[in-house]
Amino acid sequence: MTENQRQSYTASEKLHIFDNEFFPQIDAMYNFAYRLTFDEDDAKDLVQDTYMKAFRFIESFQQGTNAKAWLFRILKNSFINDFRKKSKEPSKVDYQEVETFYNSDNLDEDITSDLRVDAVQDMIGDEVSNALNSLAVDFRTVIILCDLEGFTYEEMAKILDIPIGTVRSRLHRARNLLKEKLKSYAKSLGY
Amino acid sequence: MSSSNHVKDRFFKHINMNEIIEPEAYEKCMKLLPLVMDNEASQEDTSYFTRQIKNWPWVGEYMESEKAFRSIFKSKLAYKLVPDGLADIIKEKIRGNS
Repeated sequence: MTENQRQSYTASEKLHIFDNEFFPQIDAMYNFAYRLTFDEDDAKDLVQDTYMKAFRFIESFQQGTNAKAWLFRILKNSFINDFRKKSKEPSKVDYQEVETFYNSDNLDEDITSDLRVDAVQDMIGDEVSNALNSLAVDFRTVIILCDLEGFTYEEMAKILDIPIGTVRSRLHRARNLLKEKLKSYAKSLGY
Repeated sequence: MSSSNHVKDRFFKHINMNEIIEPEAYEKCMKLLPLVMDNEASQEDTSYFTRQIKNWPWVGEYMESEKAFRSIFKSKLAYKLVPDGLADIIKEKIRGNS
């Protein structure tokens, strides 16, 4: 069944889906919203807005499928359409050129940035968080989705509306950028 | 230099393919590496990869290092829990709209 096929739910079925499939995701949703907006009030508004939209469009959700990915997709779109405009977030990075390179066969040439694991171990959470937050939103998002939330490439491709190859290249690039940021902190710690 | 040429000069930069045992398999495995790390490779590819990387011990060492990094990175990021009352506000609105 495609996601465009609409379901027909009774009012009680809708509430059942909401309580049993949507609400258990609220912590992950809020965490994602906060890491996109950096602001508790904006994150709350974004989560509320997402749930209201999810309820309005619940008939395009098939019960028993991946509610978390479905909700994350709505949240991401709400962020882009409504919240990003008013935030101080720098405009999207122009990584098309980067992605063209990383989609090529050269992906394996630079496996990853060198970073000592024990340096990260000695950092406090704020330093690690700041490094993540300093990434452009599109890079930050793939790290959150993959490394924190455990989404697969396919799920991420659906959430972000991008091809799987782009997910892969963006993730590779994002992880290297993150490590470069962390290396700066590591240097300041004397590593 | 210690372990596997210090993890092949810290993560395989400027590797000399003439020194690599089974270079074709190595190239294939390098393409599979990120997929295996993210559990995105097929079972067949993962088995192939696991068998082959015994030829290049630094690859396995790099993977251990990367796994440790990802685990520490995740553990350092506090999970922002939803503020008290937000769930109730949303439920109330939903029930008001249903």
